[in-house]
Amino acid sequence: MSAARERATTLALSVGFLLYIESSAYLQDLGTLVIVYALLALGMYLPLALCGSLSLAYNAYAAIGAYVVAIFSRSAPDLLMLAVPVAILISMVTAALLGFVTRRLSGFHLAVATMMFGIAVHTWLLNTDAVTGGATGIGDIQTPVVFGWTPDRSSLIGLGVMLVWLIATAIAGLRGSLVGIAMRAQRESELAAAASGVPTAALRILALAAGSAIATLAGMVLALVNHFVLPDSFTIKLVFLVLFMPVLGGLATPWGAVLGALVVVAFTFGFDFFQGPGGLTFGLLTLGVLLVAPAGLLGGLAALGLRLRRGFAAARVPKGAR
Amino acid sequence: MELSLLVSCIETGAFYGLVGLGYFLFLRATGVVNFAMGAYVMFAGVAYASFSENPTTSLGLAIICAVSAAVLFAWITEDGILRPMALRVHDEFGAVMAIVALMFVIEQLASLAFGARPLLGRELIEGTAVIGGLAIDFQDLLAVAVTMAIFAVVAIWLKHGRYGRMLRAVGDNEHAARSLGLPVRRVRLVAVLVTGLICGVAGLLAAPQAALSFQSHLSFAILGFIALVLGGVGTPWAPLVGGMLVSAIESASARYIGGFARDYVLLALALTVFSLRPEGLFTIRVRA
Repeated sequence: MSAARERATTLALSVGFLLYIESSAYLQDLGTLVIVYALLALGMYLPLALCGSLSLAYNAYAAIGAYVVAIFSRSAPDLLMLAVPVAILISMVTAALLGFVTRRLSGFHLAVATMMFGIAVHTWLLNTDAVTGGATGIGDIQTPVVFGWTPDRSSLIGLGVMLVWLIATAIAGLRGSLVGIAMRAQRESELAAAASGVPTAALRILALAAGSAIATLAGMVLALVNHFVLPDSFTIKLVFLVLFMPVLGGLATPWGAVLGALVVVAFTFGFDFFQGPGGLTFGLLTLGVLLVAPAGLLGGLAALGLRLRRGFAAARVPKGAR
Repeated sequence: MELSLLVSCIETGAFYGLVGLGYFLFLRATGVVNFAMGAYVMFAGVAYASFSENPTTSLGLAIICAVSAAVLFAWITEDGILRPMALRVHDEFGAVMAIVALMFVIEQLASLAFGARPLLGRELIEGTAVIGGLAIDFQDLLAVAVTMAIFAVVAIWLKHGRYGRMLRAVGDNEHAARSLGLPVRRVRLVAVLVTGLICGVAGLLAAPQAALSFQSHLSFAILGFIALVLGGVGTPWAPLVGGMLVSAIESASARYIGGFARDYVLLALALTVFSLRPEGLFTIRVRA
């Protein structure tokens, strides 16, 4: 599919999704969840698919986004818009630091360091009552005033959907750009890429920082739409759930991550089902996809489409010509 | 530091060391840092605790079930996941993803099979010894003794045993070992099964010490990994040294800073080791 056609199709699907969830408050809740998960999954997708770096601190980055918004709303409501750059900056610096410390080590080191950071942030949220409100979190988060306009819930959700579309489109563009190609080259063979002058470690750190910024946006959407934050929304469990999305959807395009988010929410209706056999099912599905069909759902659909088209083409050829 | 604190510190260190030894063997055999290992330990521990909760169940049966579960998971990891995957993808991140997914699957299996409630296992042997005015449970002595015995056996096996020596060859250079005609696949499998066995025993020893739940595996995986990184891969004893160090730092921080700081101290420790000495205290030099 050409880039322009992909953009048009996905934009149309996004608008359709937005119109569909407009119809009820319940669907809007689920839609918000899709947006939050999709942003988290896109944040994870960027370093994972382009650089092969698996970071597991996405609960922490989302928490930074949500809590910075909450703290600004509580202490300096007039400056709420300022929370956006502040939170993104904190996340990016942390992600870059974690990436820098493990830059010469294996992907396993990065995974463990980021996982420990995620756990430490959750502990901090629970135990630092003065700043984070402890186990009860922070409520009454205000809606930001954007140039004199106060968006209502529906507009916020609409903004969230557009954000997902923009970021997925941007990542798709990045994949094909020179930077994206350099990132993928260093994933295939770090030595060869480094020998060709690709700054491998710097690119990986850049991708990790960009991914963390996207995940921070997810936390902000969650805090602004729900008007409250709770520490237990940001446990390590969130990371596992989000990890499955890009894999299930397919790693070949960022839209796989979005599709994965949609599928997970559609099949779990939120977090509760995931506590029981649902989590096991998704874990097994992910393992199965990794082992048997690494292209994921979108890859499978593309292969099916190709086969159908070939089938039609073959059928159209007259018998004598074979 | 009080003596009783020292005893518990040594015992915890022995446990972390045991998990670190599991990491060590698995890494040498497959080149994969298997942090699903914490989940093997947790599953064996929770299974043992759950079976032994019923006073009529024989301990022997509970032990066999728990340890074989850990060995089974290790076997599935190698033959069901890592080897088939290595045939189709060559980059590392597929293995990292699969290991994380597997870790989650085992966690969910444990919560489905044994419930979410933390379970405390029955002591393997009862009674208390008094040494120099200090009362120590036989269970604690047993845990430390079994750990030391496992380390000694593994060290001797790697040095003199048939498969142990082949494992060192495979770990140093898999391609060279293959071209020399070593049965790489079988050597890997043997090492992986031994890893499962060690994890099973570690789970048995941990279950009577503290109540375990299906979520305990994360801290096992993390602490065992730090023990391995801190110790290095130079000798099979390195994870034990690393485990003792981690345990000492953990209990010192709990005593002087407070128990809440555990996660922060461990994070700081891991980041310090990663940035200053990621190769660990004991290293090996191998011509590639």
